[in-house]
Amino acid sequence: MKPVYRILFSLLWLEALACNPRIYQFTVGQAPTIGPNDSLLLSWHVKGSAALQIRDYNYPESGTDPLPDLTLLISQHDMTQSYTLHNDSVITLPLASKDWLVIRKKPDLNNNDIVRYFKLIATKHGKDSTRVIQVAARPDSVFDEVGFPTQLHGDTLVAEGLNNARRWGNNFFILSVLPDTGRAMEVSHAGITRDLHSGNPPDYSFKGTPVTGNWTIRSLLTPGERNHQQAIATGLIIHFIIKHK
Amino acid sequence: MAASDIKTVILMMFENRSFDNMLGHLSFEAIQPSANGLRPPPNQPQYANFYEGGVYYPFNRPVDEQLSFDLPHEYNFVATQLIPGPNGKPAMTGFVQAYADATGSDPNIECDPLCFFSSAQVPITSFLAQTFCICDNWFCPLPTSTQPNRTVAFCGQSAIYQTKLQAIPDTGNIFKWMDDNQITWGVYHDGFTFFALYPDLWDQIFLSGKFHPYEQLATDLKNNKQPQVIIVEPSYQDAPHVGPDHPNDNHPPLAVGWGEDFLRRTYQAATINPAVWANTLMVVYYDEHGGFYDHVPPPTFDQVGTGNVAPPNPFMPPNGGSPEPIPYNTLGPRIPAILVSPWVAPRTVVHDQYDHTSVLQMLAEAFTPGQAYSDAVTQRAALGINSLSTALTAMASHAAPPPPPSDPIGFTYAVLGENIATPPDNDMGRSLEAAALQMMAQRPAEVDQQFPLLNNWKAAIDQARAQGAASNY
Repeated sequence: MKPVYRILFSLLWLEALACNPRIYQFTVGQAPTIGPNDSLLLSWHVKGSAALQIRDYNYPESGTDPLPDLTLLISQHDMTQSYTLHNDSVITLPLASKDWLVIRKKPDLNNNDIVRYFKLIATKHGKDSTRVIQVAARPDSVFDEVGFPTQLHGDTLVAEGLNNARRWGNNFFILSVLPDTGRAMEVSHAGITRDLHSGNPPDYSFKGTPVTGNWTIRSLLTPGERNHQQAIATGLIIHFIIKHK
Repeated sequence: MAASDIKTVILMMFENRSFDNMLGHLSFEAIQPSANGLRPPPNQPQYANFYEGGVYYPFNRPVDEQLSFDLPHEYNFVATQLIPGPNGKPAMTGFVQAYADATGSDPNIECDPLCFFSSAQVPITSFLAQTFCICDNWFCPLPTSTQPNRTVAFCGQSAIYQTKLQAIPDTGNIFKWMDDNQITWGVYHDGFTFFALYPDLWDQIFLSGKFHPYEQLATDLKNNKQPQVIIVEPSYQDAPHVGPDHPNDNHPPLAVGWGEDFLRRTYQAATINPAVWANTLMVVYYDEHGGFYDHVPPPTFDQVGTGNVAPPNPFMPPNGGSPEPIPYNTLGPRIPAILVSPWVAPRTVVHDQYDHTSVLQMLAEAFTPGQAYSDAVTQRAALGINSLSTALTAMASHAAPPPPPSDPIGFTYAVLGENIATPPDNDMGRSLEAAALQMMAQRPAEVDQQFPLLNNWKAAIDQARAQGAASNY
């Protein structure tokens, strides 16, 4: 690098560090998958002024029906305020630059499968920095899946790995599992191994085991995959019904 | 083959979007079912991306808004995004993994790299795609980032493999080729020019008289003063900005509303003069995918011998010794590409394999028949890259070009370009800012003439940053 560029680079970098709005920290206090009435701790630290926007959307592929109005109870420093969140609307809260809050839904009969967007906006010198955390608020019993990319071992596809505890926490367990459509699979999880066949009813062998942890999925190549390498599945996916503790 | 019928070529290259991100909706909404975009439902296994047990699928972004981060798209991240599957071909399953690696954060359930726009969210792009011709097998030439891909687009080959704070070597630039072949040309820039990053081109920028403010484009076309080849440059997010200027190049984390507005104005300019329009080809394309998911694996493509510098082993661990360069063995991911012209079949999809050098092939066919653009471009053609002329029809449509949708576009104010109190925080931004400052230092009189707003910008950043620095101590 030419000296003049090096000097310019250094100056620009120092100034960038000094002047940008920055989000030092924006976290949820637990895994971002919660039950319908679980509370959630949000904390943040920004350089600049801060604001939080809250908006709900249907969980992916869970339908497009308008979401019913709900009341959110937001607590900070022994004070709790309620806010009504309407379908397709946003709650905006001005915040201190470093603080925390606890948010929970006022208990009601609504049990929708939603993704709640928390958008933190830090503003300084008219320039914004934003960060979005999505939290899934799931019904007590709901469909989901686990999957991994495949490797080919002989004529068997193997997909294995650790299901992310940071996403799921300890609040969900398996009720039943069934394979992805179209192929037989051998599934190992929590010390249990079972063969799952396409078209069979849900298998309850894994009932009560955690969603998280190690999973291994094996499946023989299908005739189509043997004949056409391009058709070999790049991942194997297990569907399951999970329950909230 | 109608390349020789094309008298005016307008090249409009945006930044950093994949085909599925911008045009995946065409098949998803059954607007253009023959386009190889996304198809409902989005949670099909062939679209799955994986990250630590989580399965992530494409999703329609609820609103067009600024993203939390730029998306990773340097060569090492692209290698993760395309990571080979069990058949050795790119599996396209690593976009979420690359995002998590680059941002250091756990990905959201609806993870930004997998988002795509609906037709309503990109009304002008969708209008042009539905009205004219789209190319759904147009790949960026290299599986890496902005600077190498733009260099291939406008030089035919690249001596760099990554984007960083650097002066880019000229490897056969299009301007010299056009000058050597008496082809008239002009660059119409809506702000600072990307070509400032090539010091060898500064004479072209300052002395050729062929770099014009964007506002002059419509006037030149209307008055038959247009050159044969027109390069339209958007206002780059990473470039210096001042006053009400706002970026419109669609580079994440920007929203795309301003880019849609810029595309509409350029289409209106391209069609303003029926006599010129009758022999015009406007190419709307992107430099690379920008880290956005695309479901089509790039084809195998041996880049050895194409004149492009190979990157180090992208999977070499840090401090793992001297990484051996490994030549790219595929093209880069698909990018959105629309051909706007009376010389394309209306409402069609062309499935031929293209990359950015397809434009250079076509220019040679149109303006220097029988004479190739360069050996590197010829080499890529021999490996299966078609000339853009394969998308052209033998007969032109005489129908008047339809007006674009006139509905207001919902703008998300581009805060990244709103304020100049803070310097850029990425390599492209630093490169462009350094080039601007270098130009001002070395060629002040010519900068006054060509980019007068840079003086306002320099004064403004000096003042704003001094105030900003003072307020921080």
